[in-house]
This record gives sequence, structure tokens and C-alpha cells, in this order.
Amino acid sequence: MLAFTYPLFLWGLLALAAPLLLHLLNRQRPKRLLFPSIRFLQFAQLPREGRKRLQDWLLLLCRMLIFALLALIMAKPYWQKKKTADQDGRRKEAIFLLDSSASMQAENSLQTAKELIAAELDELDGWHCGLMLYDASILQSLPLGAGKADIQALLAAWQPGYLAGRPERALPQALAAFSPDAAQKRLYAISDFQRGDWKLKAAQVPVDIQLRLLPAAAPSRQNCSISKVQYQSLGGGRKRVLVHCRNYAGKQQERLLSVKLGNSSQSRKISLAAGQNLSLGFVFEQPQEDRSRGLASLSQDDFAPDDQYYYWAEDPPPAKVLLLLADSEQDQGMAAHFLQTALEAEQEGVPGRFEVQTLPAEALFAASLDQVQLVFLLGAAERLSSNDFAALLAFMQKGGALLHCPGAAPNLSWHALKQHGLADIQYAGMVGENADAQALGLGWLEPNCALAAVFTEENRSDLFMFNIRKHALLKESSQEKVLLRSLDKQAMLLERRHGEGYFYSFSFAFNLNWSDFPLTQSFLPMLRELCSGLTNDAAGKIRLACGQTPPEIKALDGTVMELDQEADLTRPGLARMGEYALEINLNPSESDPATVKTADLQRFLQSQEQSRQQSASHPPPQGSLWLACATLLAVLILLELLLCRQEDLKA
Amino acid sequence: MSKPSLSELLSPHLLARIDDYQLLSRLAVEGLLAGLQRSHCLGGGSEFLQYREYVAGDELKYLDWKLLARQDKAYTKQFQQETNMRCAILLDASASMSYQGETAACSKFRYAAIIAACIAYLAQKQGDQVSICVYSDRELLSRPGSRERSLGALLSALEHISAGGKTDHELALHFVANALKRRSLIVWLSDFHHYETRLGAALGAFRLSGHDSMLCQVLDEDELTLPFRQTLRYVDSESNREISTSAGLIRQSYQQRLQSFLEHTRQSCLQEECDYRLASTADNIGELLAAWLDKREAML
Repeated sequence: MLAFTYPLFLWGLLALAAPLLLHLLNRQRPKRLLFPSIRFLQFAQLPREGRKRLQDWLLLLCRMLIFALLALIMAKPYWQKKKTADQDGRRKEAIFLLDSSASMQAENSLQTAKELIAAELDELDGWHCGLMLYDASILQSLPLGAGKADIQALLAAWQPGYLAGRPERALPQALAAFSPDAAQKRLYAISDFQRGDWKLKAAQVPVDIQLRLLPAAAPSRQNCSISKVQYQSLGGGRKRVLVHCRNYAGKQQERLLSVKLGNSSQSRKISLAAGQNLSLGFVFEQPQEDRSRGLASLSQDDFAPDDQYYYWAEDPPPAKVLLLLADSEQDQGMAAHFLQTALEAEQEGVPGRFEVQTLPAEALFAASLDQVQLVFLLGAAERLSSNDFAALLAFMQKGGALLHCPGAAPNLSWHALKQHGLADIQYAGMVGENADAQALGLGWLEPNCALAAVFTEENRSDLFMFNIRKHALLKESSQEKVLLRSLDKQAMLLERRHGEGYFYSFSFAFNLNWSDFPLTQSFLPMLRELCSGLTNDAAGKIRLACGQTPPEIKALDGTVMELDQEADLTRPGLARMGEYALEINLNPSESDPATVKTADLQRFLQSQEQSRQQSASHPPPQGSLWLACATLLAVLILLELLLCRQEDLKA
Repeated sequence: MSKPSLSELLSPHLLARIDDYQLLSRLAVEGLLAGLQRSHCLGGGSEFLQYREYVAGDELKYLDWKLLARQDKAYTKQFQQETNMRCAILLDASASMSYQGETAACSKFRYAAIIAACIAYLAQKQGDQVSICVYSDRELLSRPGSRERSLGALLSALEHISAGGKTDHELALHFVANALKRRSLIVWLSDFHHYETRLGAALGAFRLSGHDSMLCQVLDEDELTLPFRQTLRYVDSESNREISTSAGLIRQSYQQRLQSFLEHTRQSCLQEECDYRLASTADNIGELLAAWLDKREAML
């Protein structure tokens, strides 16, 4: 049977009336002629034989066909095999795809979803129905043909879990469950349509499946959540717990925030403005044993699962820092000494957060960069091989940070960095090597970098006070960002991003031949803040969203660390995997009550499919008639021209 | 499009074509000055007319002495007096005269006006007086007499007249009755639509008054042949009545009716000894006038 890709264009067939009307109007309104006298003229019937001349009718028919074909061509006709009688008797199928993600635990969502499905089931008499529950994947399903009683029994026992919804995984499975020869297919998606879940970039619903989106949640809910908890030992047996809360509601919310650490607990009333993020610190004076379990909780609201946050009360292990230096350079040994001392120093009784290792640059191939978070390259860049540079690049891509200082051969050093794609910095010589050179120093700090938070306007002079005896003259490219400049505006510290990590390059070395910097008061805070910003505060801890699989971590002996047997990753709680602590909490995306508009979503899901079908290069399976119509149109246009020409000749 | 000047239409080429002809009256006319026209008065003309018996008091210079000597009878020679002529031009400027077909170079009125200008030119050239009356349903131009110096003014006045309104030929008759006290030559230019039944009476009145008359019936080629193919809505230019018809269907009957009308007009002219000429706007004016005047000269 004849089918059309764009059936709306068939309205263009109304244009068929145009030539017909023109013919009629031309007949009814003869031209007016002012004549000297009409006394010899007689009324005369229009020539019937003329009106009915075959040629006139041919011309009219030809023009009407041209209009009809134009409309058909725009509608893109194709031939589809006619449905046979037995196919017409196929069954009708409906599948209910029910969102069972954590956000469905919100007040009323559960009951609304059940009522919606029950109401639809009542209207689907004679349909073969199925049910699928999903969160990150299909949890449970009743195949097509299941009875209403089975569906309602499953719904009665249904409780949403704690995982985030992944409808893009569930949708294809639901679509695949339909019989290919079903007469009518209907897919019901029952969900709260959270914006965080419904990011459908690849999901498509074929146009022959009726998609019905049933929202099961009120558009707004009064929700506050705990998004993160950080633990830190302060020294003297004091512990600090920092709780981050967020108000998703559109108006101010009052809540009671309680923090439990071991056997101690503290509570505080908090007030959150609309959309506000609040970080609140709790200090516990009593010394607690290591590895205490902690729980922060808010008084309950419309969405309870995100009102609790489980955390481990233990300090992260020190970040590992690797210093790469050239063996032959005495100066770099001095720099390494300054660095190690500064990074490993205790502060207020708290052990240093960095564990420093030194390694000759030539031995980099033997180092395992997976265990390292920071690498200092102290004047040894020119000694590294291509493989070493590749390893360092990979290290930065994964989130590591590499800090570079010049050494005995700065020109070779930056040339090697440039050659291997670590930086695009142009080395233009040295400044200050001559004896009569004026005193050099720092004079400008990038106001938006992490260091600016430490070296504020009041104490920035500490950073600018020390003398620099010599430094390299560097010219940055568009990919580098300058964090520090000298008094004469030369770049002193440059930053470049590589994937998840960073590359830093100083224009001077950390030894006394280059500057007094390692002896100043600003050296230690600058170094520690710079390195703290580059290390993960959750080092040693693994924070997981419910349902998320922990990464595979190998111990030093090569064995894979195993998860505790009693650990349940599908709900909030605490677990251990070897020496690593696992904090399992609700996915923050489930807390956000913002939803997508179902009308937009439906249009997106099916228009994607439609456009995909339309843009497909292969013709419809039953064969396109477009070319045939176009050919016929061309023939008709020629015929019309011929007939018009004959008319003109006669005239 | 600007109208061509009438003085321009009276082109040297056209004047050269008719310059050799004389506008002569077939009847004796009355005039005050000596001219080319025959006068009904006998006397000092150059053309011998007849003999009559001598009566006392006749001028002896007209006595035929040779005849007296041979037969002893006294006869006096009589000569036709030659006088000038008053030429009256009657020009119809009704709306029906404004029609211009696609093949015609000008409208019927302009065509007739050019003929009138040529006639006036010839009359002026041979010393005749020219009167003109241009009329439709009122007199648009009325000049009982004009002399040579006023020909330019006459042409200029004609240029500024445009055809329009209904036809009232009685105005022309009134003009003739009031302006022409002596025998004259009347040249009447019109399409004479709806006037064929009364034309005979009008011409008869002219004849009884002693006027010689020339009648030129000016029609457009479209009126004569009805060449249209498509169905048209014909609107009468004077009565504004309409009729929708297809020319192809009625052409034959139209031409029959038209011929009947033309024949009726021609017969009226013949009966009243009026010189009749049918002119189509497709015809060359010079050729038309030359043929017409040539025929008149031959008839004298």
C-alpha cells in the first residue's frame, strides 16, 4: 500500500483547486471592450464545442496532475506491503517501564505510580501487558501476557532502591521486549523524570511504538540534603567534621543537623535559604579511636534517603611525592632537601600530609607512578627519555601533577618539554646572571589561583620580599596560564592542564644559587598550599554512590584488594576494601527535584527516531516512489508547455 | 502617449499627394469673389454657356457679330460666372468616433479630423471660405467662416478637441441652416451610427438649399471585420450598454447587418445626389482623398 514519509504535505493537494478555479474564472469573466456601437452585435452562447475541446480538458488535467505530483513528491511516497489478514489479527502489547530509582522514594511518588499503572491497566482490556522495574538496570520484569493480578501483586511489594536511574539502559530492553509483528505497541514510562536521570543522548523510540510518559511525582518538593562530609584530625586529640548541606527547595528550610562520631554526637539547628549550600564544622574534643564510623543526618523531609551521610573518621594516608633530580647536580640536591623538609614537616602536631621520595631522573622507568600524586622534576628534564615523557603525560592525564624547575641546562630542559608536548614555553635566555644585575623579585600573583587565597593582599608582601638572583626568561603560549610574575612582569610560574592533571613550570630553581626563596617564611606555605590543592583530599578513601562498583586496586604484592564480605554497595553505608575505606552514599543527582518536561522528552525521543529514519541513506524497504513521481512530473510539465504552445499558435 | 499634432499629421507627404487636386463643387455655388467655382450667375466668366436673343440694353461686347453677319440674327453670348465657394465641414466628435482598433494608426475622430484638415487646406488654397462645425452632443467648435490666415488657428483648435459624448447630428443641421446663407459645399464626416434613417432627410434639406454635399463615413477596421477571437464583453461607447458575445459566432450576421447599414447610408446619399465615400481607418488618407477628389473632378 502507498505510504508517505511526510503525510502533512498531502494538504498541498488542496492546490488542485487553483487551476480548476482559474479555468472557471477565465470562462466567466470575458474581457471588456469599449466598442463604437453594439447595435449589430448579438448575444451568443459561449461555444460549447470550444469549452469542451479535448485540448482544454487535457491542459486542465495536466495542470492538476502537476500540482498533485508536486504535493506527492513533497510527501515522499513509498510503497509498503499491504498487511495480510492474519497480520491484522495480531495482538496488542503494552509494557509498563517503572522507575525504581532512589528519587522515587520521595513522598507520594510510590503511591502515585501504583495508581497510574492501575488506572491504565483498567483501560487495556484485551491487551498483553508486561512490567519492568529499573534503576541502573532492569531489576525485575513480568513478561508480556502477565495477568493484571501478577502485575498488581508485584507493584504491591515494590519498594524503590537507592540507586540512580539509568533509563537509557532500560529503554532499549523494554523496546526489545515487544513482538516485532504486534499490531499495536504501547510503552508506558512511569517515573518522576528527574533531570539528572533522563539525559537521553542515544535512546530512541521507534515511531510505531506509542510512547506515553506518566509523571509520578509532584513538580516541586521541599528537600534538603547532605552532599558531603569531610573529616580531619586537628592535633591535640581534636577531630573536625565538616558537613556540606544543600537546600533544593524554592524557599527557606529549617532543619536539625546531627553528627555522630563513634559514641559521641552533636546537633545543631540550621536554616538554609532557597538554593543555598552550607558548610558547617563540628569539633569533637574527645580523642576517638581510629577508624571510627560516623553518620551525619538531617531531620527528615519530603525525600528521606539523602538526609543521611555515612563517613569514615580517619585521616587519609600521606600523599606520595616523587622528586626527580640529576645525580650530578649538587644544586638540585639542595633543592630536594628544602622540598622534602618543607613537605614532611609537622604542623600543629599533625603529621605531614606528604611522603617524599627522591629518585634519579634516569631511574624514572623503574618508578610506579600509580602510587604517586605529585612529581617534582628538578632540572632533569633534559635527561628523560621519550618513554619517560610519555609516562609523565599519562600520569598527568589521570590526575597527577608535575612541577618543573630549571637546572644546569635550562635551554635543553624547556626544549625537551616542548618537544614532548608537556609545555609550549619558549625559553629566551637567562636574566640576572651578570654581577651588575639589579635585584629581582616577584611582583604579581594571579588573583584567581589557589595561592591567592593564602597570600591575601595583607600578607602578599611575604611572597614578594625575597630576592631572586637569576631566572629564566620564559614566553608562554596561549595554552599556559601565568600564576606568578616578576617585578618586571616576566612569567615566573606557569600552569598548563593535561587531562585531569596539571603541569607547573617555575622559572627559577629552589636553591640558593637562584634565590633566597627556600629560606623565606613564604616557602613552606606556598609549597604546601600548592601541593595540597593538587592532591586528592579523599586519598585513601573511596566515595561511592549507591550501586557504583569500586575501582580495582592492587596491593604492593600485586594482589587485588577485596571488598568486605558483608558490604552492601546498593544502599548507603560504610565498608572496607583492604586498607581503603569505602563511603557509600546516595548519588547526589537523586536529590535534585528538577524534572524534564514530558512533552519535550517525548518529542525528543521520537523525533530522534524519526529524523534517524529520514536521514537514513537507504530507501524505505518497500521502495521509494519519489523518482517515479519526479519523472512523471517532468513529462507533464513538457506536455503542458506543448499544449500551451499549440494554444498560442491557434490564437 | 502624447497625441500627435494635427499640423504634423497634415504632413508634406500628404499635402503633396493631394496638392494637384481641386476641391470643386458639382453644383453652381454663390460667392462674392471670383474663383474656381461655377456661379449660378451669368456674366463675366470665361466659360461660354449659351446664346440668347439680343434684347435692348444688352452689352454690345457680348453680341455675336459673326452670326449677325451670316444669318442676320442678333444673339448675345452668355458666359458662366466663376466665383469662390464656401466650404462647410461637419465633423462628428462623439464617443463612438474615439475608438481606435489595434491595427489602426489613429482613432476614427483623428482620421476624420485629418481629412477635414486636408479639405480645409485645399479650400483655403483655392481661395474658398471654410466653415467648420465639430459637434457631439454640443458644439465643440463652430466657425462660420474663416480666411486663409486663420487655417493655422483652425488646425490648432482641432488639435485640442477630444471625442466624447453622444451624437447629436441636429447640431450639424442647425449649423448649416444658420451659417450657410448661400449655396455651399458641405463635407460631412461621421460614422453615422443610428442615423441612417434620417440621413436622407438631412441630405435632402441640403440639396433643397442648393448645397453640394460630400459625405465620408469613417469606420474602424474592427467595426468592418469584427476580427476578435475570444469572447468579449462589448460596451457601447455612447449608451454604455453591454453585451457579451463571441465574435466568431456572430461575425457573419454582424457583417450582414453592417452591410445593410452601409448600403442604407449609401442609398440615402445617392438619392440626394450626395457624394458618398466609406473610409476605414486602416486606409491611407492621401490615397483616399486623391481617389475621392479625382472621381469628383471626373464627374464634373
